[in-house]
Amino acid sequence: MQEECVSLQVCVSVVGALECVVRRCLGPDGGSVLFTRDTGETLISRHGRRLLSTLQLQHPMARMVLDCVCAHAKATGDGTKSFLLLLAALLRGIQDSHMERKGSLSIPSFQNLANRLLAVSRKELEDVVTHKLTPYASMYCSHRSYRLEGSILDLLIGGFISGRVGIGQADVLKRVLCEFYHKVSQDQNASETISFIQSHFSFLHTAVTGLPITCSEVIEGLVVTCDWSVWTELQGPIKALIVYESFGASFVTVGENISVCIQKDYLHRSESVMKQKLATLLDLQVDVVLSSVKQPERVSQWARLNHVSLLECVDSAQLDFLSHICAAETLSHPPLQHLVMLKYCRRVQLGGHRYACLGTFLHMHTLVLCAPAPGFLDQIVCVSQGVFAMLQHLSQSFCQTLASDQSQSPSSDQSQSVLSSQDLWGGILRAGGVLPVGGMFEFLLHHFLLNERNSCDPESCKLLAEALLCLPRTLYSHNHRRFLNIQTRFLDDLKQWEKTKEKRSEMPELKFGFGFGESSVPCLESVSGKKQLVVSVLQCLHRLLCVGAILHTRSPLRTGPQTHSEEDEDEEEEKLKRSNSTPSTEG
Amino acid sequence: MALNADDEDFEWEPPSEAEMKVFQARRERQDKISKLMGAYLLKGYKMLGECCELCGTILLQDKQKKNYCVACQELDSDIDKDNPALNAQAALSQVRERQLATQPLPESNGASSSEPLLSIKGQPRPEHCEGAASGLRGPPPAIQSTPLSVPTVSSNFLPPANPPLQTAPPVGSLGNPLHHHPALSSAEEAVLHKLRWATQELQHSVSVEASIQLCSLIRGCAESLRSLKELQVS
Repeated sequence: MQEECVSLQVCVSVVGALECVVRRCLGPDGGSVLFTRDTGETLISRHGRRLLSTLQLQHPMARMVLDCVCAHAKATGDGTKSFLLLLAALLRGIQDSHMERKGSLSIPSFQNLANRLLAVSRKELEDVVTHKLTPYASMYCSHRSYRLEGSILDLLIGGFISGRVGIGQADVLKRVLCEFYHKVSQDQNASETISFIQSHFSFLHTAVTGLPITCSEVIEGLVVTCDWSVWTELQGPIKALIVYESFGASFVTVGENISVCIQKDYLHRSESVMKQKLATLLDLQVDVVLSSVKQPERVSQWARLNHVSLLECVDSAQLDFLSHICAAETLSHPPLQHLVMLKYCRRVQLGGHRYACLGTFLHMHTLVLCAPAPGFLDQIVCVSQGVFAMLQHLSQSFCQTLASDQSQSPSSDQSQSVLSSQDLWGGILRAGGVLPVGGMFEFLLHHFLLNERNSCDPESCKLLAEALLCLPRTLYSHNHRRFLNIQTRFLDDLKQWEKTKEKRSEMPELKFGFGFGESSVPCLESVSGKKQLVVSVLQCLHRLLCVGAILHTRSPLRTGPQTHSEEDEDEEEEKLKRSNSTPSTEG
Repeated sequence: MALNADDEDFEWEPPSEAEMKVFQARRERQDKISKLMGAYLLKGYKMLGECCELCGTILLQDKQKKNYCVACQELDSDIDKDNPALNAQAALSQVRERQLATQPLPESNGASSSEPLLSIKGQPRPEHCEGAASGLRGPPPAIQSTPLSVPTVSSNFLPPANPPLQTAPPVGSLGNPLHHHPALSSAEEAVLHKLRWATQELQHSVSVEASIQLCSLIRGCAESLRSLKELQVS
């Protein structure tokens, strides 16, 4: 029992320290952290993952929590700071209840408590969200749909961004991201668009430093972050050749330490080989050569003479992406070459650099994000990526629930139509997949968990419900009275609603929002994302509480079947040992 | 667990108010430690995988590879500051409070007026020396018998005032309106003694944290001297 008490104390210290780091950066009123290096570099950021990975954490529990946080952020694009706040609140709640019950002999062990909380996340949380929260959300949002200015997507994006970037920048970024989405979604339906953007975001955006954020825009075509080595103005449809190796690769480049027996006419022969290759290009009527490596000078000269544009040192992953979306034709003879048809080729000036812009027949667009400083730019890029990850998660979970509903009641045709139609977001709104931002989810869940009558573990539900309130409390921390006001009004309205559930027209007029004006329309957030946050936090808590002991090793462990053990504690120790022996990543 | 719960719970009582206060204090201490640790992490300190042997808090390491325990080095010294058994100043303030509560206002006593004030002059601290000088300035009309000391008293700069004051006529002729109470003067002496000790320690100190703490001690001594002065003047 002694060790268990020590381990909870350690958990609380570690998570408490991490929470204090991110706490003041939460919400639209949150601040940023300024990191400086000895070399004079500075980084200003309020992005949770960036903050945490820049800290120097050697403690194995801290690293484990960081891994959990990053895994969650990757899946939902959301909630690194909220994760830590909720985790810290849960640990403190457990510590308080443990201290209060110290004399009692029936204190549950921490492992037992962790298991119970995990069971709550699987059963009671699911029930509450599906049967109580979602209907409330659907009724609330449908009732207010006439007041929603702009589309639901705009409000979702606005809700995500306004909590992560300053107010002035939020408007610009929201406008740019909505524009980007609408331009990309012209040919596809909503869920395909979202998954396309999400999976290829690194190719679909370009980051530019040194310009104000208002210069962010959406450019037609695919921007490649290199300049043309040889440039010719070309019109009309263009045949482009994608190569992954050098034309003169048959001989060794200068500088490599390999001894070669040079034949008498070796150089002459290699020259003639290259000439042949280039002649075949002319036969194919290639106008543009896109190469992932640097080509020899001879090739540049040939390109200049024959009015062929040459782009070198392009990222090979980007070339793969291009050949994939343009349905490239692979040439048979030189194996690593593809032919694509492009609409146009241009040169663009972004910031202080000239880049190449390739136009495809598929109406590709590139999101150009600008920011004055590199750290700020990194934050904006992460936020933009997070927006699409969040939308992807939302649409996926919505489609999953639809599919499961359909399997249960195959006669519903509505689900089919929603899946195929463009109005995915309207469907999500009507199904109760979104709620206004500002803590409404936490208030609702708190209320429903406390009043859950069919629960088999009311104690754990109470623990979770109390911990959930830490999030809105921190959001309104600059004005605590406002938090209490909002909470009381909300609970009153909720009680009123529960009494008059049948009469839809009597929905109470609830003023909710971030205080930009009581009458302003609040932005929306995803219910499934928030639910996933709670589940991830409970899973991380389970991992933390099941740690029995931390053993430090000096040498790396051999990972193999003989080191695997059946008990949870031993596995945790191994993971901790492994994470302890890996070199710490310095920010 | 469910079956035996009733039997066992009969013996358990909810924690008393005193125990709740202890929990609350412990919780606050834990929160303070977390806040300090968070601040240090943002300053570039590394969170180690080891705990302090004395208090069990997680150790931090600064860029010079020196280990630092937040609780031992920052929090506990705050608690010790108020503990009369460990800190002379706290003991003095306790004594002074008790005496002030029991006795009436101190009468004017010019006999030993300037001695502690003269001894103050030796300190290189401008704040309390200015305070002392202003104290000496006192109500000037009462001082008639020492024309020599008046101009020196009225000057604001200490170093030139120093030599003339030290050759000033006997103390009693100053007719000092400053009131003296034996407790106050002994308090002043003790504080000055601590101040001198702290200054010496500061000169020999090599660590940054110790220097910071010594400077805060000196500041505390100066402030207590000022409040003692105000008490004497009133």
